[in-house]
Amino acid sequence: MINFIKNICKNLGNNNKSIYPVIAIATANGICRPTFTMLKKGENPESKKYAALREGITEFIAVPTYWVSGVLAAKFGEKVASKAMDLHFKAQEKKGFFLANEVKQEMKSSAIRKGKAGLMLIGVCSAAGIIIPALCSVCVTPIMKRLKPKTENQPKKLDIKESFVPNIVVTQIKTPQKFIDNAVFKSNVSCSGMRVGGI
Amino acid sequence: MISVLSKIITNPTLVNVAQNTNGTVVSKTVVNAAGRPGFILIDSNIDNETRKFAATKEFLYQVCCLAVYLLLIVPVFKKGAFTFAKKYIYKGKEGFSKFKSVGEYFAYRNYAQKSQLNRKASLSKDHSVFKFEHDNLRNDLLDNKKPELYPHIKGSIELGNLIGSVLGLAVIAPNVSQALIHPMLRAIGMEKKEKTKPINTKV
Repeated sequence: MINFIKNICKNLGNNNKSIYPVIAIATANGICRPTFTMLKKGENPESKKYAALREGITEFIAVPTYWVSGVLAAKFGEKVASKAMDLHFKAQEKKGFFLANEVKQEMKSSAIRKGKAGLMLIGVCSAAGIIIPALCSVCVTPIMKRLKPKTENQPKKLDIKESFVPNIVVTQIKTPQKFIDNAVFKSNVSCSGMRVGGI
Repeated sequence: MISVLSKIITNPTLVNVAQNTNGTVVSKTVVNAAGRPGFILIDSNIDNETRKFAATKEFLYQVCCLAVYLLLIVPVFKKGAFTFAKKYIYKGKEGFSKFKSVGEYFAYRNYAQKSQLNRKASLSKDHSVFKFEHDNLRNDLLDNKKPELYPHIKGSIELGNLIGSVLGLAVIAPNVSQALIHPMLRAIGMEKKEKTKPINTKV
């Protein structure tokens, strides 16, 4: 266990990336914020569920977005730094300064390391400030609509045909009939949960 | 164009912030404080008053997070991680015994990352003549082209910061801001205090 922690410390000390803390925070937020929302007392359980789900989805979107934007930005940073160093070496050679290949390699690798780190931070910040809020405003509402369960209290539509309606007007019928025997009527009663005509 | 962009992204300050957990978290929270309320304000599906209220609330939440993080988490976890690692993980070995505090380690590291020429010049300045005169640190800095950076010490501090960030921003800050946001909203007139009806005690 101690060796495992020592390895983590060594790796973090040598190469700490800006995506590590933001992903860790987003993951913890994805677990803690919905939990805290559900633990709140004195609020409507349905609205609590809705808020918790919304928070969970937001963080669920945030984690991969941070990762993808950080990694892509780092790759772009690597290319930019590498190309800039090549241009710098060419300009130096035109001026008559020639550098040894080892020195060139060292300078280039240092620039690439810095460029990757710098642009990764910019990528993470743009994900936090622009990409994630934009993605959430586009994605969260449709996802919530899909996940929202249909409420049971909502009355279902009755499939009564228009032509059938006049036949129900039974006030003109003098002899009483057993309406319960009517199959369509029976099904409607069971679906809607309402009692029609005092039955 | 490409060399200008390269100069910006390889800027030492930006790189230092990027490789530092605290720097990353602070910059992310600052960007969040600007971006999230901005996106709420441009959302046309909500009415104007609700938009203003939600944006202010989000902004105050992010400010609270930042304040909690800077005032509570950074000082406690930075020093705490160093002390914990020194005592319990590395038990005073592997370079930990050479540094008395986090500040001393980072000062040493700053010198060690400079080029040897710059390092010698900085260390020969009046206020730095007696710096690191113990455990052979000064000689390391002056004589070696690439002095030992003790990455595991930095890593243990970063690990502490990481744990502190998660704890601070995911557990402590939401609860603290929950207590602070509503009084702040009332103070700036965005929220009215609910008036409780007087209880009629007469029978």
